[in-house]
Amino acid sequence: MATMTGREYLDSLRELNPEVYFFGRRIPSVVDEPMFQPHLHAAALTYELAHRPEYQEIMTATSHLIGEKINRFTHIHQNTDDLVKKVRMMRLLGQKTGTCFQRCVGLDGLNALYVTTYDIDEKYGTNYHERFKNWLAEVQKKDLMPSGAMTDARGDRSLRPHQQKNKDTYLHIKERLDDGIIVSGVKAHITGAINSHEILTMPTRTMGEEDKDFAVSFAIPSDTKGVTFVFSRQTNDTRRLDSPLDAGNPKYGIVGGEAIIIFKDVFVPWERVFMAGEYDFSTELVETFAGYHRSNYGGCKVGLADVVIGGSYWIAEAHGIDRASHIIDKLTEMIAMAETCWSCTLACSYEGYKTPSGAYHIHPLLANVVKLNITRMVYEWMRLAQDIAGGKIITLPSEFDLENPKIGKNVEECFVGKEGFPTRDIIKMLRLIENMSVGAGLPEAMHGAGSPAAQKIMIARRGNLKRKVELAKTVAGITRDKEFEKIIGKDETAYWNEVRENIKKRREVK
Amino acid sequence: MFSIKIKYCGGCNPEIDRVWLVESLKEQLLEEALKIDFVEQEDETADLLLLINGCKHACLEQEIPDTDKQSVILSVKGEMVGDQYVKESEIAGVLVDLISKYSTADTKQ
Repeated sequence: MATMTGREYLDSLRELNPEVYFFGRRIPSVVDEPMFQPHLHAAALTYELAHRPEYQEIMTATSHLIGEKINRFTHIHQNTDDLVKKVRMMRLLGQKTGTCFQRCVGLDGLNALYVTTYDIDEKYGTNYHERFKNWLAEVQKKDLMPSGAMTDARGDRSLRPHQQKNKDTYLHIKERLDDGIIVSGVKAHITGAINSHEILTMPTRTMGEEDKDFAVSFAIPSDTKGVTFVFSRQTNDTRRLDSPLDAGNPKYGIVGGEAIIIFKDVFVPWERVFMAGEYDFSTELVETFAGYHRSNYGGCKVGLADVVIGGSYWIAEAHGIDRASHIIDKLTEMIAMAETCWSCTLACSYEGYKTPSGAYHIHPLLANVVKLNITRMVYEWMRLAQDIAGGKIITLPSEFDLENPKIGKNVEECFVGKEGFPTRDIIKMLRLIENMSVGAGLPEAMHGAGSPAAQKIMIARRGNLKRKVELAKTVAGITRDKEFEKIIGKDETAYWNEVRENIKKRREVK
Repeated sequence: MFSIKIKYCGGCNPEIDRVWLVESLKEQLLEEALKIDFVEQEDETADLLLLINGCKHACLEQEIPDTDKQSVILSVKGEMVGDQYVKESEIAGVLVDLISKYSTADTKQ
């Protein structure tokens, strides 16, 4: 089986030497940096679970390229069953980590490029698809984790990329050579960037002819010369340096360990370039990627909901209020919302279709509906978690105060719950609920895979209003209803004239 | 005479007007003077099986009866014909071209 274990993945990162900055200093080793540990563990779990027999059915797939069993995070979806297993995998990992596990962006990039490179070649006679498959085969054989680098810095959003005062606000081709391209620019909010083996770039928006140098996609190793990462700050991030108890989710962190990626005159050989100026395919690439990625959220965020619902119920039990009707009602609401999103993502997966490339894509309208629901419902179920857990989640003392020999015991007594629920465990659970419901996780649910406005544009575009108007006109009797005429055995107008006549006669009799 | 059997999907939420498409196709086949025998009965076989799926999900492709598998199969899947994206207004024209090729080949055999 061509897959690494969690430990092997961490060791594999030591073979890379990416230029990473955080807190103003160059980080000598990504694997050893304490601030990065939780994100590394979350990503490592995507590797580790592929080796557990009880999870292999959804964590692995057989590659249609290399014929071996691979981690599903490097798989190209071959049927709707693959699409469904993908979101099952997302829910499983959300349940196991309680946070973002990063690897799905790269997976969606792989699939989006598989679909789009095929279509580019069909139109232009290029060989991007072959190049992409060659690179993908290596990714699958070595079980690599590519980060999906789509979002550009974007600068003044009212201007197109070529109009920006600073062209580097969008990644672009600076020079075309015989053996490759030179690129510069900045990508922002790139999930799992510092702990990925490769960077897979894609354009972030529709490009016009004048933007063609910005319509670029390629893959490079993370430690390529000219690439610099700046790791982002997130809410309460340094708590993991203070104490495991205060961190809330010390094992797996919060959100996806996003980073800015700065490309400065980076050379990319042609065999690793998958789009270079074919601007008329930028929309397809962006929308194909966005569709895949938006569908994930009904899996991963629902997995997180499973954790926070469980935590909320446990806290209610610990506080002796689990049987209160308002608590049951709130938990029920949380479950209903989570399963609504789950239903939606299953629907968009089961309703998927085969693209000309042979890879399967999700149902685009339903995928955007999934994500739009997530942008609202995550806030709501986290609000209910906070409601159930109580204001304590934002007033807990530090682990150091609990450990203090003079005051520790008194402090601990403040948080005693029901018999059978150790106080330390109560504090752990309250900290987890704080970690999940207060801070970075919420904006991530809002903006990850595209902001609500982006989903609404897609939903409006694909909502087929014209057909819905025809349906309403037929039922309202504005246009002919052929099936109704078959039932009544006559022309609709004649039928209603008869009905009116009968009504008139009945009224006269009265 | 070259025969075609048409199957419609359930039409739960089509992105194209399937009935209009088939009417359009029949008109264009007449215009091209292509003589086609449209098979009506479910259990009859035909030279070509034309699947009219209202959307790309293409439910009909999942369960093709054994008796129909011997036919040449053309599948309309919303705004796709086979593996190609085709706008709704152009689907009938694409089908006429394909049917013309198959029926000519059949005649030659």
